[in-house]
Amino acid sequence: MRERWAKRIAFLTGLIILLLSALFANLQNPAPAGKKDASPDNAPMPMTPVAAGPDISLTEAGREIYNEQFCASCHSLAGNGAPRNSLDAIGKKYTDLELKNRITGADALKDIYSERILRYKQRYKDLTDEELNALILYLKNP
Amino acid sequence: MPSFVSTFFWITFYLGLVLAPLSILLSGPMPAGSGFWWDFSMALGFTGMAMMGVQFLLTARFPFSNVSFGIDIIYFFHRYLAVMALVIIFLHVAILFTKYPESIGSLTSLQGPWHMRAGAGSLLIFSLMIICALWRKPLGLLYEKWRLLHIVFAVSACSLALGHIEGVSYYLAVPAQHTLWHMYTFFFLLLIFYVRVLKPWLMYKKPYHVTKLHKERDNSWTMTLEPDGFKRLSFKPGQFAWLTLRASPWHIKEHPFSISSSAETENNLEFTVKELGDFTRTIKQTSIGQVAYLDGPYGAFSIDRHPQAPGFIFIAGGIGIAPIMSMLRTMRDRGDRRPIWLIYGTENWHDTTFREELEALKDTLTLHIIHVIKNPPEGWTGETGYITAAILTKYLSPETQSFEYFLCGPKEMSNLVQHALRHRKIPLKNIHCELFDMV
Repeated sequence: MRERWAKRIAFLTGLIILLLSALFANLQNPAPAGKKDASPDNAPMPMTPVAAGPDISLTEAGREIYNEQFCASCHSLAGNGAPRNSLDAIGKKYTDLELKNRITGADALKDIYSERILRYKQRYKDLTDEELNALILYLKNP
Repeated sequence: MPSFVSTFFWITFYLGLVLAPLSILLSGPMPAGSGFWWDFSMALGFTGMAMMGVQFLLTARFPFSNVSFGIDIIYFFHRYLAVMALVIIFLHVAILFTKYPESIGSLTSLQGPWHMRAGAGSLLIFSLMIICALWRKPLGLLYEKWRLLHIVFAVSACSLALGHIEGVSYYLAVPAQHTLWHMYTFFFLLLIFYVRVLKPWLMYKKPYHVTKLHKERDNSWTMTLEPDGFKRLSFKPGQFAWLTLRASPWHIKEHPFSISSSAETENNLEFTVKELGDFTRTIKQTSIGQVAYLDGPYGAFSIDRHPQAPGFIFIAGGIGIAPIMSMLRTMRDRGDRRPIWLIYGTENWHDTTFREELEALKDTLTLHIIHVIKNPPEGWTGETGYITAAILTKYLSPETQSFEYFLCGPKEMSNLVQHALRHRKIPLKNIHCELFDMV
């Protein structure tokens, strides 16, 4: 009987933790569930046709690099991947050089990124210029 | 329930520990939401890990863990909470898997970022650990090997999970959260140091020696221990201790046993152990003078927790008599004449441990003994079979309704008797049982 009590209390404790975690997530996302997908972060960016049209094979190479480097474990594109750090608007916001610096965690970005993130990003310094160019092209034309 | 207020306090304390990492986020500027399911999954990951971390605290056997409900309950709690924590961690992954598959990629992929592999590895080890703990016997794992494995699994799974969280660095950007999480990690290391280094050292400083080994009925042995130049641990009758023999306290070769001697003895103490498992079968090989180490006492199964009780009912099955002997002997030494009923179930009359001494105890205690023999000898006129509701009704007079009830024996007996007692309207708070055979 004591064992059964221990079991019940443990189960109840687990349930409370589950509910409080859900409450926490709910507090962080006050918008009604239906609307949240329409938030600018998650909405796919309307694509503006690029005059000359992107180099399809280079974009494809960029996509491969994006996948190989598991960018989606921290970022999302068009709602796919970790939604915390959306890259949807990134192509519009920054120049190629800025993007390159942001990808590789250039020292100049010390004020923007925490040291931890900077260190993490610096592992992408190993990417060649061609690879970075392809990746940036993909980010602009996902 | 033994003590509602105390239980409530400890559960709240537990919830506070587990939910602190999340609640600290709510205290500062809240990070923007990333969608309910994403944040729910992250919250589950954090709390699941915090639960696994607190598991170490539950089994560190701090003196305060001895309060009110008894350490056996804490061990059961540890067991069921581990299952709940695993479910929560699985939910964390399952939500990502269904809602954000790209974010986790292929979990089995060896090319992914190291922190994702650490997370997957940690989940795998947690699962293995729980499988081994829940099904140790069917898996044929020896107790000592299992304990070592359990510790290695626990430390490696938690380290990998901490690495995973550090690598993902999701909520850790908030400085308070970061500090708190590092404090948790530091605390976790401190706890391992306390349990695996400091505590064994304290035990090592207080060695006991085996001074007597005496064969009892039913393949049981009573071992007498004397401390080596210090005052023996002080215990309440009915409590138990972890005993280490033929190894140093750092070897993790300890086994929990009930103390069977009186709490009023000068400076020695006795354990009565039945040959049942791989360790207990070697008890008879113990030589006089051998060094032993003790960690204890533990347990809430004691008459001393109920000084106002008008009387006691002891219900024992087999070797479950050991802690009850301690209580009976202590009452004898204290001249306590409160009425006692002992209902004692055994396999056969020949193997009824302590039957002669129990008979002798009737002279000094107000003791009624009802033997219930499963396979009675020819001409036996007493009770036979198992301890049933009918037997309780037959022997327990109405005055015993307000007594304290102590049950110790095999799980089946314990469950059966508890139901019978509940049926007799004995309040739950008056029924005490020692749960052993935990893993």
